Amino acid sequence: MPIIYVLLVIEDDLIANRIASLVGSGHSIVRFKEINESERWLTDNQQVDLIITDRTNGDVMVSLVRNKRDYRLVPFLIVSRLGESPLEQATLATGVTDLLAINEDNYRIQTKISYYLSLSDQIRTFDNARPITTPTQFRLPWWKRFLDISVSFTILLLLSPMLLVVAIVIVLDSKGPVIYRSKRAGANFHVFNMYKFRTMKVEADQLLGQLASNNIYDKTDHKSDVSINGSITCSACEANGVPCQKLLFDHDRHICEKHYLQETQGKAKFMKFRNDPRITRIGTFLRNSSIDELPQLVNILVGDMSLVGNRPLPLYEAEKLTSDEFAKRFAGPAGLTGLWQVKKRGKGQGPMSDKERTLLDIEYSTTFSFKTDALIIWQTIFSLWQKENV
Amino acid sequence: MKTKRHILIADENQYVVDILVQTLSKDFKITVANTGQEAARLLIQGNRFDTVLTELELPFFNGLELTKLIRMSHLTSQTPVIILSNVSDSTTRIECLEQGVDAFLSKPFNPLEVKAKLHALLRRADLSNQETQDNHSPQLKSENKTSWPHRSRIVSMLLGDLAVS
Repeated sequence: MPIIYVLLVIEDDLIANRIASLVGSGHSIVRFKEINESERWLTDNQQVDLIITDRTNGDVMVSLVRNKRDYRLVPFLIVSRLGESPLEQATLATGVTDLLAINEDNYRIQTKISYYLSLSDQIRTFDNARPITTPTQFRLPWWKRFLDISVSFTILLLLSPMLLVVAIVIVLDSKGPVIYRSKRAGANFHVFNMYKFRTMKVEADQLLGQLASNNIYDKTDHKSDVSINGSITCSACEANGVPCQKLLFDHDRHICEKHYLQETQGKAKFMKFRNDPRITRIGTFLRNSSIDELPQLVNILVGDMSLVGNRPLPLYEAEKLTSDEFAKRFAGPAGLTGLWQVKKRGKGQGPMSDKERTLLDIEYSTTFSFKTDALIIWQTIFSLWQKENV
Repeated sequence: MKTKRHILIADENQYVVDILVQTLSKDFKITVANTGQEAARLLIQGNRFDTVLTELELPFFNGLELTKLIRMSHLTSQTPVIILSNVSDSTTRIECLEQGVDAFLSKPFNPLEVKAKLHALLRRADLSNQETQDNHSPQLKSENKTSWPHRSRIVSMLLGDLAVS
Protein backbone atom coordinates (compact mmCIF):
# COMPACT_ATOMS: atom_id res chain seq x y z
CA MET A 1 0.00 0.00 0.00
CA PRO A 2 1.40 3.41 -0.92
CA ILE A 3 2.18 5.86 1.86
CA ILE A 4 -0.20 8.78 2.12
CA TYR A 5 1.52 12.08 2.82
CA VAL A 6 -0.17 14.96 4.57
CA LEU A 7 1.74 18.23 4.56
CA LEU A 8 1.15 20.72 7.34
CA VAL A 9 2.53 24.24 7.12
CA ILE A 10 1.41 25.68 10.42
CA GLU A 11 3.24 27.92 12.85
CA ASP A 12 1.09 27.33 15.90
CA ASP A 13 2.23 24.15 17.67
CA LEU A 14 -1.09 23.53 19.35
CA ILE A 15 -3.09 23.59 16.16
CA ALA A 16 -0.52 21.54 14.29
CA ASN A 17 -0.49 18.86 16.98
CA ARG A 18 -4.23 18.72 17.11
CA ILE A 19 -4.56 18.26 13.37
CA ALA A 20 -1.75 15.73 13.31
CA SER A 21 -3.53 13.67 15.93
CA LEU A 22 -6.74 13.82 13.93
CA VAL A 23 -5.17 12.78 10.65
CA GLY A 24 -4.45 9.42 12.20
CA SER A 25 -1.48 7.14 12.42
CA GLY A 26 -2.02 5.40 9.11
CA HIS A 27 -0.64 8.36 7.22
CA SER A 28 2.69 10.02 7.07
CA ILE A 29 2.50 13.55 8.40
CA VAL A 30 5.11 16.15 7.53
CA ARG A 31 5.03 19.45 9.32
CA PHE A 32 6.89 22.69 8.70
CA LYS A 33 6.71 26.12 10.25
CA GLU A 34 7.91 28.01 7.24
CA ILE A 35 7.19 27.97 3.56
CA ASN A 36 10.82 27.77 2.44
CA GLU A 37 11.36 24.50 4.24
CA SER A 38 8.16 23.02 2.90
CA GLU A 39 9.07 24.09 -0.60
CA ARG A 40 12.38 22.29 -0.33
CA TRP A 41 10.60 19.21 0.93
CA LEU A 42 8.13 19.34 -1.95
CA THR A 43 10.86 19.51 -4.57
CA ASP A 44 12.62 16.50 -3.05
CA ASN A 45 9.51 14.52 -2.45
CA GLN A 46 7.14 14.39 -5.40
CA GLN A 47 4.19 12.89 -3.66
CA VAL A 48 1.76 14.66 -1.39
CA ASP A 49 -1.94 13.93 -0.91
CA LEU A 50 -3.26 16.73 1.22
CA ILE A 51 -1.91 20.12 2.20
CA ILE A 52 -3.11 21.97 5.26
CA THR A 53 -1.80 25.44 6.05
CA ASP A 54 -2.67 28.31 8.32
CA ARG A 55 -3.88 31.73 7.32
CA THR A 56 -0.48 33.45 7.29
CA ASN A 57 1.18 30.90 5.06
CA GLY A 58 -1.89 30.15 2.99
CA ASP A 59 -1.76 32.71 0.20
CA VAL A 60 1.88 32.24 -0.74
CA MET A 61 1.70 28.51 -0.35
CA VAL A 62 -1.37 28.07 -2.51
CA SER A 63 0.06 29.90 -5.50
CA LEU A 64 3.27 27.93 -5.09
CA VAL A 65 1.39 24.64 -5.11
CA ARG A 66 -1.02 25.43 -7.90
CA ASN A 67 1.73 26.61 -10.22
CA LYS A 68 3.45 23.26 -10.12
CA ARG A 69 2.07 20.58 -12.36
CA ASP A 70 2.53 17.75 -9.91
CA TYR A 71 0.51 19.28 -7.12
CA ARG A 72 -2.29 20.81 -9.09
CA LEU A 73 -4.81 18.27 -7.94
CA VAL A 74 -3.85 18.18 -4.28
CA PRO A 75 -6.67 19.35 -2.01
CA PHE A 76 -5.56 22.47 -0.18
CA LEU A 77 -7.11 23.33 3.17
CA ILE A 78 -6.64 26.47 5.20
CA VAL A 79 -7.10 26.41 8.94
CA SER A 80 -9.65 28.97 9.91
CA ARG A 81 -12.23 29.85 12.50
CA LEU A 82 -15.76 29.23 11.42
CA GLY A 83 -17.90 32.31 11.59
CA GLU A 84 -15.29 34.65 10.25
CA SER A 85 -16.79 37.22 8.00
CA PRO A 86 -17.58 36.10 4.47
CA LEU A 87 -15.84 39.23 3.24
CA GLU A 88 -12.63 37.76 4.51
CA GLN A 89 -13.41 34.49 2.77
CA ALA A 90 -13.74 36.34 -0.47
CA THR A 91 -10.20 37.67 -0.21
CA LEU A 92 -8.84 34.13 -0.10
CA ALA A 93 -6.69 33.39 -3.10
CA THR A 94 -8.28 31.08 -5.61
CA GLY A 95 -6.81 27.65 -5.42
CA VAL A 96 -7.92 26.96 -1.88
CA THR A 97 -10.16 23.91 -1.80
CA ASP A 98 -11.72 24.35 1.60
CA LEU A 99 -11.45 25.88 5.04
CA LEU A 100 -10.70 23.61 7.95
CA ALA A 101 -12.75 25.08 10.74
CA ILE A 102 -10.61 24.69 13.83
CA ASN A 103 -13.43 25.50 16.20
CA GLU A 104 -15.52 22.57 15.02
CA ASP A 105 -15.49 19.31 16.95
CA ASN A 106 -12.86 16.67 16.32
CA TYR A 107 -15.18 14.28 14.59
CA ARG A 108 -16.13 16.75 11.87
CA ILE A 109 -12.55 17.77 11.23
CA GLN A 110 -11.58 14.15 11.00
CA THR A 111 -14.38 13.37 8.57
CA LYS A 112 -13.37 16.24 6.39
CA ILE A 113 -9.71 15.23 6.27
CA SER A 114 -10.46 11.62 5.47
CA TYR A 115 -12.98 12.69 2.83
CA TYR A 116 -10.38 14.76 1.00
CA LEU A 117 -7.81 12.00 1.29
CA SER A 118 -10.14 9.46 -0.27
CA LEU A 119 -11.22 11.99 -2.85
CA SER A 120 -7.78 12.75 -4.17
CA ASP A 121 -7.32 9.03 -4.54
CA GLN A 122 -10.51 8.77 -6.58
CA ILE A 123 -9.69 11.71 -8.79
CA ARG A 124 -6.22 10.55 -9.60
CA THR A 125 -6.97 6.92 -10.46
CA PHE A 126 -8.29 7.91 -13.86
CA ASP A 127 -5.64 10.39 -14.70
CA ASN A 128 -6.17 11.18 -18.33
CA ALA A 129 -6.21 14.86 -17.56
CA ARG A 130 -7.05 16.79 -20.67
CA PRO A 131 -6.94 20.52 -20.79
CA ILE A 132 -10.35 21.99 -20.05
CA THR A 133 -11.89 22.82 -23.38
CA THR A 134 -13.43 26.18 -23.90
CA PRO A 135 -16.80 25.50 -25.44
CA THR A 136 -16.90 25.80 -29.21
CA GLN A 137 -19.97 26.57 -31.21
CA PHE A 138 -21.06 25.19 -34.53
CA ARG A 139 -20.22 27.60 -37.33
CA LEU A 140 -21.04 27.33 -40.99
CA PRO A 141 -18.05 26.46 -43.14
CA TRP A 142 -17.10 29.31 -45.44
CA TRP A 143 -18.14 27.50 -48.63
CA LYS A 144 -21.61 26.90 -47.22
CA ARG A 145 -22.05 30.48 -46.12
CA PHE A 146 -20.77 31.72 -49.48
CA LEU A 147 -23.23 29.48 -51.32
CA ASP A 148 -26.04 30.62 -49.05
CA ILE A 149 -25.45 34.30 -49.62
CA SER A 150 -25.00 34.14 -53.37
CA VAL A 151 -27.87 31.76 -54.08
CA SER A 152 -30.42 33.34 -51.75
CA PHE A 153 -29.57 36.83 -52.95
CA THR A 154 -29.92 35.82 -56.59
CA ILE A 155 -33.22 34.03 -56.10
CA LEU A 156 -34.67 36.89 -54.07
CA LEU A 157 -33.69 39.31 -56.78
CA LEU A 158 -35.12 37.19 -59.60
CA LEU A 159 -38.34 36.36 -57.83
CA SER A 160 -39.04 39.76 -56.30
CA PRO A 161 -41.85 40.61 -58.76
CA MET A 162 -43.56 37.30 -58.01
CA LEU A 163 -43.12 37.71 -54.26
CA LEU A 164 -44.79 41.08 -54.51
CA VAL A 165 -47.78 39.59 -56.31
CA VAL A 166 -48.08 36.82 -53.74
CA ALA A 167 -47.98 39.37 -50.94
CA ILE A 168 -50.84 41.33 -52.50
CA VAL A 169 -52.93 38.19 -52.99
CA ILE A 170 -52.45 37.18 -49.35
CA VAL A 171 -53.63 40.58 -48.16
CA LEU A 172 -56.70 40.38 -50.39
CA ASP A 173 -57.52 36.79 -49.44
CA SER A 174 -57.83 37.09 -45.65
CA LYS A 175 -57.26 39.47 -42.80
CA GLY A 176 -53.81 39.70 -41.26
CA PRO A 177 -50.16 40.36 -42.03
CA VAL A 178 -48.37 39.03 -45.11
CA ILE A 179 -45.46 37.52 -43.29
CA TYR A 180 -45.86 35.00 -40.53
CA ARG A 181 -43.04 35.01 -37.99
CA SER A 182 -42.43 31.86 -36.08
CA LYS A 183 -39.87 31.35 -33.34
CA ARG A 184 -37.58 28.52 -34.35
CA ALA A 185 -34.57 26.78 -32.91
CA GLY A 186 -31.68 26.39 -35.31
CA ALA A 187 -28.11 25.19 -34.94
CA ASN A 188 -27.14 24.82 -31.27
CA PHE A 189 -30.68 25.85 -30.38
CA HIS A 190 -30.12 29.39 -31.57
CA VAL A 191 -33.61 30.89 -31.42
CA PHE A 192 -34.64 33.20 -34.25
CA ASN A 193 -37.72 34.42 -36.10
CA MET A 194 -38.37 32.35 -39.19
CA TYR A 195 -40.29 34.11 -41.93
CA LYS A 196 -43.02 32.54 -44.00
CA PHE A 197 -45.93 33.76 -46.06
CA ARG A 198 -49.05 33.52 -43.96
CA THR A 199 -51.11 30.56 -45.08
CA MET A 200 -53.30 30.21 -42.04
CA LYS A 201 -55.96 32.29 -40.42
CA VAL A 202 -54.67 34.70 -37.81
CA GLU A 203 -55.79 32.77 -34.73
CA ALA A 204 -54.13 29.57 -35.97
CA ASP A 205 -51.83 29.09 -33.00
CA GLN A 206 -54.68 29.12 -30.51
CA LEU A 207 -56.50 26.46 -32.48
CA LEU A 208 -53.52 24.13 -32.17
CA GLY A 209 -54.39 22.88 -28.70
CA GLN A 210 -57.90 21.87 -29.75
CA LEU A 211 -56.56 20.00 -32.70
CA ALA A 212 -53.93 18.03 -30.83
CA SER A 213 -56.19 14.99 -30.62
CA ASN A 214 -56.28 14.69 -34.42
CA ASN A 215 -52.50 14.53 -34.61
CA ILE A 216 -51.42 11.92 -37.14
CA TYR A 217 -48.16 11.26 -35.33
CA ASP A 218 -49.78 10.46 -32.02
CA LYS A 219 -49.16 6.87 -31.04
CA THR A 220 -50.76 6.46 -27.65
CA ASP A 221 -53.78 4.32 -27.35
CA HIS A 222 -55.84 5.98 -24.70
CA LYS A 223 -58.23 3.07 -24.38
CA SER A 224 -55.68 0.81 -22.70
CA ASP A 225 -55.99 2.61 -19.38
CA VAL A 226 -57.15 0.38 -16.59
CA SER A 227 -59.33 2.38 -14.32
CA ILE A 228 -60.01 1.26 -10.77
CA ASN A 229 -61.88 3.59 -8.44
CA GLY A 230 -61.04 6.48 -10.65
CA SER A 231 -57.29 5.89 -10.43
CA ILE A 232 -55.13 4.51 -13.20
CA THR A 233 -52.68 1.73 -12.51
CA CYS A 234 -49.96 0.27 -14.66
CA SER A 235 -49.90 -3.30 -15.87
CA ALA A 236 -47.01 -4.24 -13.55
CA CYS A 237 -48.89 -3.31 -10.41
CA GLU A 238 -52.01 -4.83 -11.86
CA ALA A 239 -50.27 -8.18 -12.34
CA ASN A 240 -48.97 -8.22 -8.77
CA GLY A 241 -52.35 -7.29 -7.45
CA VAL A 242 -50.93 -4.54 -5.28
CA PRO A 243 -51.77 -0.87 -5.17
CA CYS A 244 -49.35 1.24 -7.11
CA GLN A 245 -46.07 2.08 -5.39
CA LYS A 246 -45.39 5.31 -7.20
CA LEU A 247 -48.50 7.40 -7.42
CA LEU A 248 -48.54 10.83 -8.91
CA PHE A 249 -51.44 13.12 -8.17
CA ASP A 250 -53.34 14.82 -10.91
CA HIS A 251 -56.23 17.25 -10.54
CA ASP A 252 -58.94 14.70 -9.98
CA ARG A 253 -57.28 11.32 -10.07
CA HIS A 254 -54.16 9.36 -9.19
CA ILE A 255 -51.92 8.08 -11.91
CA CYS A 256 -49.13 5.54 -11.72
CA GLU A 257 -45.81 7.24 -12.46
CA LYS A 258 -44.68 4.43 -14.75
CA HIS A 259 -47.86 4.73 -16.72
CA TYR A 260 -47.56 8.48 -16.89
CA LEU A 261 -44.00 8.36 -18.19
CA GLN A 262 -44.97 5.84 -20.84
CA GLU A 263 -47.86 7.99 -21.88
CA THR A 264 -45.80 11.13 -22.23
CA GLN A 265 -43.16 9.26 -24.19
CA GLY A 266 -45.80 7.95 -26.56
CA LYS A 267 -46.99 11.46 -27.32
CA ALA A 268 -45.81 12.64 -30.66
CA LYS A 269 -42.94 15.08 -30.93
CA PHE A 270 -44.35 16.68 -34.05
CA MET A 271 -47.80 17.84 -34.92
CA LYS A 272 -49.29 17.76 -38.37
CA PHE A 273 -52.83 17.39 -39.50
CA ARG A 274 -54.48 16.20 -42.65
CA ASN A 275 -56.69 18.76 -44.35
CA ASP A 276 -56.07 21.35 -41.70
CA PRO A 277 -59.14 23.59 -41.39
CA ARG A 278 -57.02 26.58 -40.37
CA ILE A 279 -55.44 27.02 -43.80
CA THR A 280 -56.69 29.86 -45.98
CA ARG A 281 -57.82 29.40 -49.60
CA ILE A 282 -54.66 30.77 -51.15
CA GLY A 283 -52.73 29.00 -48.40
CA THR A 284 -53.31 25.55 -49.85
CA PHE A 285 -51.79 26.61 -53.12
CA LEU A 286 -48.85 28.37 -51.47
CA ARG A 287 -48.10 25.31 -49.38
CA ASN A 288 -48.34 22.81 -52.19
CA SER A 289 -46.07 24.87 -54.36
CA SER A 290 -43.75 25.56 -51.40
CA ILE A 291 -43.95 29.27 -52.24
CA ASP A 292 -44.81 29.96 -48.59
CA GLU A 293 -41.25 28.94 -47.69
CA LEU A 294 -39.60 31.53 -49.91
CA PRO A 295 -39.29 34.34 -47.32
CA GLN A 296 -36.86 32.05 -45.52
CA LEU A 297 -34.34 33.16 -48.10
CA VAL A 298 -34.10 36.28 -45.97
CA ASN A 299 -33.23 34.13 -42.97
CA ILE A 300 -30.57 32.49 -45.08
CA LEU A 301 -29.16 35.81 -46.20
CA VAL A 302 -28.99 37.01 -42.60
CA GLY A 303 -27.32 33.80 -41.48
CA ASP A 304 -29.93 32.22 -39.21
CA MET A 305 -30.30 29.36 -41.63
CA SER A 306 -28.53 27.71 -44.51
CA LEU A 307 -29.87 26.42 -47.82
CA VAL A 308 -29.43 22.83 -46.79
CA GLY A 309 -29.76 21.69 -43.22
CA ASN A 310 -32.07 20.39 -40.56
CA ARG A 311 -35.51 21.86 -40.40
CA PRO A 312 -35.52 24.57 -37.74
CA LEU A 313 -38.22 23.36 -35.39
CA PRO A 314 -40.77 25.36 -33.45
CA LEU A 315 -39.69 25.62 -29.84
CA TYR A 316 -42.30 23.26 -28.43
CA GLU A 317 -41.05 20.55 -30.77
CA ALA A 318 -37.38 21.38 -30.44
CA GLU A 319 -37.33 21.17 -26.67
CA LYS A 320 -38.44 17.56 -26.88
CA LEU A 321 -35.34 16.64 -28.85
CA THR A 322 -32.78 17.93 -26.37
CA SER A 323 -32.24 14.49 -24.85
CA ASP A 324 -28.88 12.73 -24.77
CA GLU A 325 -30.04 10.61 -27.67
CA PHE A 326 -31.18 13.33 -30.04
CA ALA A 327 -29.34 16.49 -29.05
CA LYS A 328 -26.81 15.82 -31.78
CA ARG A 329 -29.39 17.03 -34.23
CA PHE A 330 -28.66 20.60 -33.17
CA ALA A 331 -24.96 20.22 -33.95
CA GLY A 332 -25.73 20.73 -37.63
CA PRO A 333 -26.89 23.79 -39.53
CA ALA A 334 -30.55 24.70 -39.78
CA GLY A 335 -31.77 24.80 -43.34
CA LEU A 336 -34.51 25.37 -45.84
CA THR A 337 -34.35 21.89 -47.31
CA GLY A 338 -32.67 18.81 -45.98
CA LEU A 339 -32.24 15.08 -46.08
CA TRP A 340 -35.67 14.08 -44.89
CA GLN A 341 -37.48 16.37 -47.28
CA VAL A 342 -35.86 14.73 -50.30
CA LYS A 343 -35.52 11.19 -49.00
CA LYS A 344 -39.07 10.07 -48.50
CA ARG A 345 -41.55 12.85 -48.50
CA GLY A 346 -40.81 13.73 -52.11
CA LYS A 347 -41.67 10.25 -53.27
CA GLY A 348 -45.15 10.52 -51.88
CA GLN A 349 -44.79 7.84 -49.22
CA GLY A 350 -46.65 7.92 -45.96
CA PRO A 351 -45.57 10.27 -43.21
CA MET A 352 -42.19 9.54 -41.71
CA SER A 353 -42.09 8.84 -38.00
CA ASP A 354 -40.52 11.56 -35.92
CA LYS A 355 -37.75 9.23 -34.84
CA GLU A 356 -36.78 8.50 -38.44
CA ARG A 357 -36.78 12.19 -39.18
CA THR A 358 -34.53 12.95 -36.25
CA LEU A 359 -32.14 10.17 -37.16
CA LEU A 360 -31.87 11.58 -40.68
CA ASP A 361 -31.15 14.99 -39.19
CA ILE A 362 -28.38 13.52 -37.10
CA GLU A 363 -27.03 11.68 -40.12
CA TYR A 364 -26.90 14.92 -42.04
CA SER A 365 -25.24 16.93 -39.30
CA THR A 366 -22.42 14.41 -39.02
CA THR A 367 -21.83 13.82 -42.73
CA PHE A 368 -22.66 17.01 -44.57
CA SER A 369 -20.29 18.21 -47.27
CA PHE A 370 -20.35 20.27 -50.42
CA LYS A 371 -21.26 17.16 -52.39
CA THR A 372 -24.23 16.11 -50.28
CA ASP A 373 -25.48 19.67 -50.22
CA ALA A 374 -25.39 19.94 -54.00
CA LEU A 375 -27.18 16.61 -54.31
CA ILE A 376 -29.91 17.60 -51.88
CA ILE A 377 -30.48 20.92 -53.66
CA TRP A 378 -30.78 19.05 -56.94
CA GLN A 379 -33.30 16.59 -55.51
CA THR A 380 -35.27 19.33 -53.83
CA ILE A 381 -36.01 20.96 -57.14
CA PHE A 382 -37.87 17.82 -58.15
CA SER A 383 -39.83 17.38 -54.95
CA LEU A 384 -41.03 20.95 -54.70
CA TRP A 385 -44.59 20.10 -55.62
CA GLN A 386 -45.92 17.96 -52.82
CA LYS A 387 -48.51 15.40 -53.64
CA GLU A 388 -49.56 14.90 -50.11
CA ASN A 389 -51.72 17.48 -48.46
CA VAL A 390 -49.81 17.97 -45.20
CA MET B 1 -20.09 47.18 -14.31
CA LYS B 2 -21.76 43.94 -13.48
CA THR B 3 -19.59 40.96 -14.29
CA LYS B 4 -21.07 37.80 -15.72
CA ARG B 5 -21.79 35.06 -13.23
CA HIS B 6 -19.63 32.01 -13.66
CA ILE B 7 -21.30 28.64 -14.07
CA LEU B 8 -19.87 25.16 -14.32
CA ILE B 9 -21.57 22.71 -16.66
CA ALA B 10 -20.74 19.05 -16.20
CA ASP B 11 -22.15 16.83 -18.93
CA GLU B 12 -20.74 14.08 -21.09
CA ASN B 13 -22.91 14.78 -24.08
CA GLN B 14 -21.14 17.28 -26.29
CA TYR B 15 -24.31 18.22 -28.11
CA VAL B 16 -26.30 18.91 -25.00
CA VAL B 17 -23.42 21.11 -23.87
CA ASP B 18 -23.45 22.94 -27.20
CA ILE B 19 -27.12 23.74 -26.82
CA LEU B 20 -26.62 24.96 -23.27
CA VAL B 21 -23.64 27.09 -24.18
CA GLN B 22 -25.49 28.65 -27.11
CA THR B 23 -28.41 29.61 -24.90
CA LEU B 24 -26.52 30.62 -21.78
CA SER B 25 -23.34 32.26 -23.00
CA LYS B 26 -24.97 35.65 -23.36
CA ASP B 27 -25.85 35.74 -19.68
CA PHE B 28 -23.10 33.70 -18.10
CA LYS B 29 -19.43 32.91 -18.16
CA ILE B 30 -19.30 29.18 -18.75
CA THR B 31 -16.80 26.48 -17.95
CA VAL B 32 -17.49 23.00 -19.27
CA ALA B 33 -16.35 19.74 -17.72
CA ASN B 34 -16.97 16.66 -19.83
CA THR B 35 -16.67 14.22 -16.96
CA GLY B 36 -17.50 14.28 -13.30
CA GLN B 37 -13.83 13.98 -12.53
CA GLU B 38 -12.96 17.04 -14.50
CA ALA B 39 -15.59 18.93 -12.58
CA ALA B 40 -14.23 17.60 -9.29
CA ARG B 41 -10.70 18.59 -10.27
CA LEU B 42 -11.80 22.11 -11.04
CA LEU B 43 -13.39 22.35 -7.61
CA ILE B 44 -10.42 20.85 -5.78
CA GLN B 45 -8.15 23.30 -7.53
CA GLY B 46 -10.19 25.99 -5.90
CA ASN B 47 -12.02 27.41 -8.88
CA ARG B 48 -15.11 29.25 -7.72
CA PHE B 49 -18.42 29.05 -9.51
CA ASP B 50 -21.66 30.84 -8.89
CA THR B 51 -23.75 27.84 -9.90
CA VAL B 52 -23.11 24.26 -10.93
CA LEU B 53 -25.26 22.51 -13.52
CA THR B 54 -24.57 18.81 -13.75
CA GLU B 55 -25.83 15.58 -15.28
CA LEU B 56 -26.52 12.88 -12.73
CA GLU B 57 -25.09 9.88 -14.52
CA LEU B 58 -21.45 10.69 -15.03
CA PRO B 59 -18.86 7.91 -15.08
CA PHE B 60 -16.44 7.56 -12.11
CA PHE B 61 -17.71 10.65 -10.34
CA ASN B 62 -21.41 11.20 -10.61
CA GLY B 63 -23.62 14.20 -10.02
CA LEU B 64 -24.44 13.24 -6.45
CA GLU B 65 -20.79 12.81 -5.52
CA LEU B 66 -20.12 16.18 -7.07
CA THR B 67 -22.91 17.67 -5.00
CA LYS B 68 -21.40 16.11 -1.90
CA LEU B 69 -18.04 17.66 -2.70
CA ILE B 70 -19.63 21.06 -3.15
CA ARG B 71 -21.63 20.83 0.05
CA MET B 72 -18.62 19.57 2.01
CA SER B 73 -16.50 22.65 1.47
CA HIS B 74 -17.11 25.73 3.58
CA LEU B 75 -16.22 27.81 0.56
CA THR B 76 -18.76 26.31 -1.81
CA SER B 77 -21.48 24.98 0.45
CA GLN B 78 -23.83 27.81 -0.51
CA THR B 79 -23.36 27.31 -4.26
CA PRO B 80 -26.61 26.34 -5.98
CA VAL B 81 -26.53 22.96 -7.71
CA ILE B 82 -28.90 22.04 -10.54
CA ILE B 83 -29.22 18.53 -11.90
CA LEU B 84 -30.13 18.16 -15.56
CA SER B 85 -30.60 14.50 -16.17
CA ASN B 86 -32.06 11.75 -18.29
CA VAL B 87 -33.31 9.97 -15.20
CA SER B 88 -36.62 11.46 -14.33
CA ASP B 89 -38.48 9.25 -11.90
CA SER B 90 -39.57 10.85 -8.68
CA THR B 91 -37.49 8.57 -6.44
CA THR B 92 -34.29 9.82 -8.04
CA ARG B 93 -35.51 13.39 -7.86
CA ILE B 94 -36.31 13.04 -4.19
CA GLU B 95 -32.96 11.45 -3.43
CA CYS B 96 -31.13 14.25 -5.21
CA LEU B 97 -33.03 16.96 -3.41
CA GLU B 98 -32.34 15.24 -0.10
CA GLN B 99 -28.63 15.08 -0.88
CA GLY B 100 -28.40 18.82 -1.27
CA VAL B 101 -29.38 19.51 -4.84
CA ASP B 102 -31.35 22.72 -5.30
CA ALA B 103 -33.27 21.96 -8.47
CA PHE B 104 -33.89 19.05 -10.77
CA LEU B 105 -34.61 19.38 -14.48
CA SER B 106 -35.03 16.41 -16.77
CA LYS B 107 -34.00 15.83 -20.35
CA PRO B 108 -35.31 16.54 -22.90
CA PHE B 109 -35.22 20.08 -21.64
CA ASN B 110 -36.07 23.55 -22.77
CA PRO B 111 -32.81 25.53 -22.64
CA LEU B 112 -34.77 28.64 -21.81
CA GLU B 113 -36.13 26.93 -18.73
CA VAL B 114 -32.58 26.11 -17.67
CA LYS B 115 -31.65 29.75 -18.09
CA ALA B 116 -34.64 30.91 -16.07
CA LYS B 117 -33.89 28.39 -13.35
CA LEU B 118 -30.28 29.56 -13.11
CA HIS B 119 -31.37 33.15 -12.76
CA ALA B 120 -33.96 32.22 -10.16
CA LEU B 121 -31.46 30.33 -8.02
CA LEU B 122 -28.84 33.07 -8.29
CA ARG B 123 -31.39 35.66 -7.27
CA ARG B 124 -32.09 33.64 -4.14
CA ALA B 125 -28.40 33.04 -3.44
CA ASP B 126 -27.63 36.75 -3.78
CA LEU B 127 -30.31 37.62 -1.25
CA SER B 128 -29.01 35.20 1.36
CA ASN B 129 -25.43 36.36 0.76
CA GLN B 130 -26.48 39.90 1.44
CA GLU B 131 -28.14 38.87 4.67
CA THR B 132 -25.11 37.03 6.00
CA GLN B 133 -22.97 40.00 5.16
CA ASP B 134 -25.27 42.25 7.12
CA ASN B 135 -25.07 39.89 10.06
CA HIS B 136 -21.32 39.78 9.93
CA SER B 137 -20.67 43.46 10.24
CA PRO B 138 -21.54 44.10 13.87
CA GLN B 139 -18.55 46.37 14.47
CA LEU B 140 -19.65 48.61 11.69
CA LYS B 141 -23.10 48.91 13.15
CA SER B 142 -22.03 49.58 16.72
CA GLU B 143 -19.50 52.16 15.60
CA ASN B 144 -22.17 54.37 14.19
CA LYS B 145 -24.11 56.08 16.85
CA THR B 146 -27.80 55.60 17.14
CA SER B 147 -28.77 57.92 14.33
CA TRP B 148 -27.74 55.58 11.45
CA PRO B 149 -28.32 52.04 12.61
CA HIS B 150 -28.44 50.59 9.11
CA ARG B 151 -25.61 52.36 7.42
CA SER B 152 -24.22 49.27 5.79
CA ARG B 153 -27.55 48.55 4.23
CA ILE B 154 -27.92 52.08 2.97
CA VAL B 155 -24.42 52.05 1.54
CA SER B 156 -25.17 48.86 -0.31
CA MET B 157 -28.39 50.35 -1.59
CA LEU B 158 -26.58 53.37 -2.91
CA LEU B 159 -23.63 51.58 -4.41
CA GLY B 160 -25.57 48.50 -5.48
CA ASP B 161 -23.32 45.76 -6.72
CA LEU B 162 -20.12 47.58 -5.87
CA ALA B 163 -20.78 47.28 -2.18
CA VAL B 164 -21.74 43.66 -2.34
CA SER B 165 -18.98 42.23 -4.45
